[in-house]
Amino acid sequence: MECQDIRKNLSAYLEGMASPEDQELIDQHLASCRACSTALYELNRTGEVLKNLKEVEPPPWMTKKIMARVREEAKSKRGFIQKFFYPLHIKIPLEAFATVLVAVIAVYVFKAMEPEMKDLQVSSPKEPVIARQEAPYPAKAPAAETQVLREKAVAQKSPAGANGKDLAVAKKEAEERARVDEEGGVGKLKEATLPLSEIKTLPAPAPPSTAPKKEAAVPIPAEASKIGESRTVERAPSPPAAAAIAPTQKDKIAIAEGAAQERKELKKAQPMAPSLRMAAKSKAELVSFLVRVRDIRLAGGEVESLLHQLGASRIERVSRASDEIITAEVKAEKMRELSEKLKLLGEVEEKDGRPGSAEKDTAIQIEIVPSH
Amino acid sequence: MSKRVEERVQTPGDDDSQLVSACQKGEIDAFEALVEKYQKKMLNVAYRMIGDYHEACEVVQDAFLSAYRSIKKFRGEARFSTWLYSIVLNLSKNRMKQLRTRGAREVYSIDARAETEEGSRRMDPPDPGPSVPEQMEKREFDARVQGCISGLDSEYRAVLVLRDIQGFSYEEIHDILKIPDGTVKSRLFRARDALKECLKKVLGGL
Repeated sequence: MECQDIRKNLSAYLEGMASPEDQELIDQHLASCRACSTALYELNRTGEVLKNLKEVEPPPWMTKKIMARVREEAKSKRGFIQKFFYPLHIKIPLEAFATVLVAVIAVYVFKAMEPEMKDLQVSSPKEPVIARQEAPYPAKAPAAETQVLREKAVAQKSPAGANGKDLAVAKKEAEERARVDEEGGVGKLKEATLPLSEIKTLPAPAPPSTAPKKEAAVPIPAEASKIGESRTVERAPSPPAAAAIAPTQKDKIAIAEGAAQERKELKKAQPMAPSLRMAAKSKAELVSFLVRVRDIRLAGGEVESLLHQLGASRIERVSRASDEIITAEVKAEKMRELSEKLKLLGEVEEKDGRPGSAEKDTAIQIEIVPSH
Repeated sequence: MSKRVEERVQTPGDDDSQLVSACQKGEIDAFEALVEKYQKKMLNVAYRMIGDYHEACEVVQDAFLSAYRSIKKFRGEARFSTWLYSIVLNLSKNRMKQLRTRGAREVYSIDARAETEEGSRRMDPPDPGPSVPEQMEKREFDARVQGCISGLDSEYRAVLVLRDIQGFSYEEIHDILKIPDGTVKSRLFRARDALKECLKKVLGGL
């Protein structure tokens, strides 16, 4: 065996893995060859050096770091499984709160929309009916009708305010009517129309807020008129001024019948389209001005005093952040003057509505907004 | 060979089997126990393969994480530890390739050495100087030895590390590296010879 062959097998010989024949041959060779013996020694030493290499220690954070990564992995894995198997998993309380919030908002929105929707539903099919309901007013015998309305107006006040002030107003009106009656038939007509406007304009200042409110509010005059009527009938002979215009017993029956019929009609009409009725009335009677001024508060005060100068009644002023709204009733003949005076204050826009006939008071609404 | 595999499946003799099955059921603490048990040996294998402590630490972490990810696929055909070492060896080899392409490490290979033995001495080992190994500081000595180990081709190195440094049996090495026993031996003997030559130069004699 050559030295090269021996050296190839030295590793196996060292480990005792060489065949018995090879082992014997190598033993014989090593005894005679110094170089191969040295090679064997070196090989043995190499093995020792490797065995004696110092082991390195893992850093103390190693386990923690590995486990942190493992846990993260496990979490994301579980997260995926949870998402997959529990898609409707609710996170309380955040999602529950969100759900409740959405429900509440939905209810609010629906409630806010509801009245409008009702109006919309009502307006299209009922419009002709309303027109028919409105028609009887002028068609009726003017004397009877105005009488009824006048009594209603009085009645509206007497039960509502049992205090002396309202009674005094009622008396005053009655006196005035009596006085005008003396002036003649035209005067009577004029007088008769006055309460009519009152009745019609009465609900107008009340802002058309919600439908149920109106429904609740409207029947009162009808109810009141019933009570008022009977009182008027009782009282009729006693106040001397009222006696002047007191109709005969026969007339009264007719009046009562007319009133009853009208109540029926009112009742029929009211549930159908209360808000529309209001709108129609206010549109017909209310003249509104839009005044653009620099200082709305100052202008508001000026308009107020102007209205006082013009002898306007029922002056009401509502001051808001962005505008001032003044409602009042002005004699028709003063309307032109009012319009002229308003123009001195600022830019005036006369909005919808038409001035009432020359003989009666006109309800006005003046909206004062800042000019740009 | 297939006969032997069958025998192993029948008699796993794996003392980690309980911990492993607990891990497979999702018990993270069981995996932690396995990490505690094997991290040192894993690190030493990786360190001897790569030759850089910090890189070795990184590789060991990756190896454990990779083991955790695929522990459900572990069927117990070999011992768990063997499976674990094969993971760390593969990752170490990959890391070495990365480092080599980065040029971060000077490479010594048996083949390269053979080519340049009489030539330009490309694999210049550290100057041994006049001192003998016994007089050398242990750390310095170990560093030089590691330099020689790192100079081996990764296949030879793996066998050498597993057998002569970690003391695995040939059977275990066969399982870890999935190579025939004859190949293990021939690689090992070549690796030892190459290392012996390197050490003689690096240490100035053995």
